[in-house]
Amino acid sequence: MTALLAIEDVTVRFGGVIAVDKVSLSLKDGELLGFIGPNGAGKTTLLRAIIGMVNPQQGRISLLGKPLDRLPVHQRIRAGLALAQQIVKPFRSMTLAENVALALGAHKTRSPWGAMAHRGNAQELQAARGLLARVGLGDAADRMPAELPLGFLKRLELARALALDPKLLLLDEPLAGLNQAEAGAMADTIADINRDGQSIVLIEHNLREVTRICPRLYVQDNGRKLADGPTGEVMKDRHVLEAYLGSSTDAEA
Amino acid sequence: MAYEISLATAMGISVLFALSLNFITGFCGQISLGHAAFLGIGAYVSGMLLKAGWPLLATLPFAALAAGLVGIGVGLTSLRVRHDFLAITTMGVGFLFVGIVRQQDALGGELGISGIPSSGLGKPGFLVLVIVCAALFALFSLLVRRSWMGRAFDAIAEDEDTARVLGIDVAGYKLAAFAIGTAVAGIAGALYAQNIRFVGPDSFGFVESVTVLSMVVVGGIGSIAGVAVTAAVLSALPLWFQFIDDYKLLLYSALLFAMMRFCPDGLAGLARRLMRRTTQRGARS
Repeated sequence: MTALLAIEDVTVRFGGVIAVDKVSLSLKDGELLGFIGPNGAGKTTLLRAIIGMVNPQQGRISLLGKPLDRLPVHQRIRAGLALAQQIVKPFRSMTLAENVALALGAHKTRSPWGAMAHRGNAQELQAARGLLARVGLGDAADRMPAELPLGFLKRLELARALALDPKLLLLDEPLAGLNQAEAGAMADTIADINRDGQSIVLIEHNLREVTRICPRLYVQDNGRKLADGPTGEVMKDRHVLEAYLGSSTDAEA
Repeated sequence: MAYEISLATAMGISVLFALSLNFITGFCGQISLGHAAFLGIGAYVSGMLLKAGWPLLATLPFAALAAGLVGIGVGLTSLRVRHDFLAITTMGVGFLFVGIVRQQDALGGELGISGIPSSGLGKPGFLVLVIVCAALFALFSLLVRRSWMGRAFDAIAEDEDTARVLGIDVAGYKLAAFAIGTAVAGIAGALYAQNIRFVGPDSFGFVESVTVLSMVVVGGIGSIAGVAVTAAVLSALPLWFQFIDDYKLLLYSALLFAMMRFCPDGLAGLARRLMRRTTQRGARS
């Protein structure tokens, strides 16, 4: 069986700095992978390489056996990827429902000339309410993004990415900036979505929530793979503990 | 009556021209400071064909095609540069057009093309043609605004990187906007050439590009009604008052500055806010 996502030997350099160093990673359909690592570990860079915002100098990335290299961002999205960005980017001129409806109508916006022939969006707006309710924003569907706090907009990012009906959902720190209660609820939502069959890569700093909901962890430090395996084992790994807590000599000092 | 007809004709052509820029700048969010070049391309193509004995209506598709093809070329640069750099690039295209046309003996050089034959429609008939063209494009704009193309344009105008993450082919949409907007500017140019029966390089310079941009900004970027009304009024002012014609660049630049500074969503936005305030006051009392 071909892997859902296959990353082979990917290297990304910015000038002299190696942000991602010969990373390989593969993901099966239906998985919820926790992707962790200290600040500057190259997590977001690898994510941007997957989505096509940066081009790796080396390596191959494929989705369900289809090579993504050289495809522009929008074609990778159409191939089955979706991204919820760390820094929320709602369209501020649209209501929450309109934001989600735009993603739901992706088949209508495929080409500009075809998009001209498609008129109404009542159906998409209706479906958008359902998706917003699923992430706990049912009451805010008609509000403008500017009126809402960060917690709501983080959930909007999630709903809008889900609206693309992706084969693989990439979440870049969806819990960042949320308080403990909000983060817990958001993590529960993500686990629920995965239980419904959605494959997810979750980049997160909130170790407590990641280890709670993710069965598998991938750890990256200084652009290199540090560990990859079942969450319980990875969290006992000496290298992982050192990366997060400092080396044992540091601890003694 | 003749004066009113020629005034209305000039206004109609300005409305069509402003709506064509509105399609690019208002809908898709791509600024252009050289839009007069496309008016010029349409005017020269149509003027030359009319002098060669073509009927006016037959020249319109070619004026649109020529302007649209060059427009796609400029659109291609919009894929590489954004915002202020796009403004400078399009400004360069405007200067380039005038510079090239001035040197072409075949296009009449500095003197331009005079003695363009009449369409044979008569002044009232020509006015009807202008109004039909402007009304059709206003209707088309309205339909696009309410279609999925309009929704994708809104997304691109606001944040093109996020539009890409939603699977929108930003490059394709930008090229479509430039192709349509510049082709229609070409038609406006053909009508312009017919209206004054003369085309010269000075009619399509930087001042005209700033004028049409100020019509779009003052009217309310993206608002079809706002842009149409503003274009009609601003194009008539210099014809009504000679002193305005003398200070045209000053007036339009000042308007552009004032709107951007105090009312960036234009007269249409101002009207919306006033309406909301009155209905709120009505609800309270």
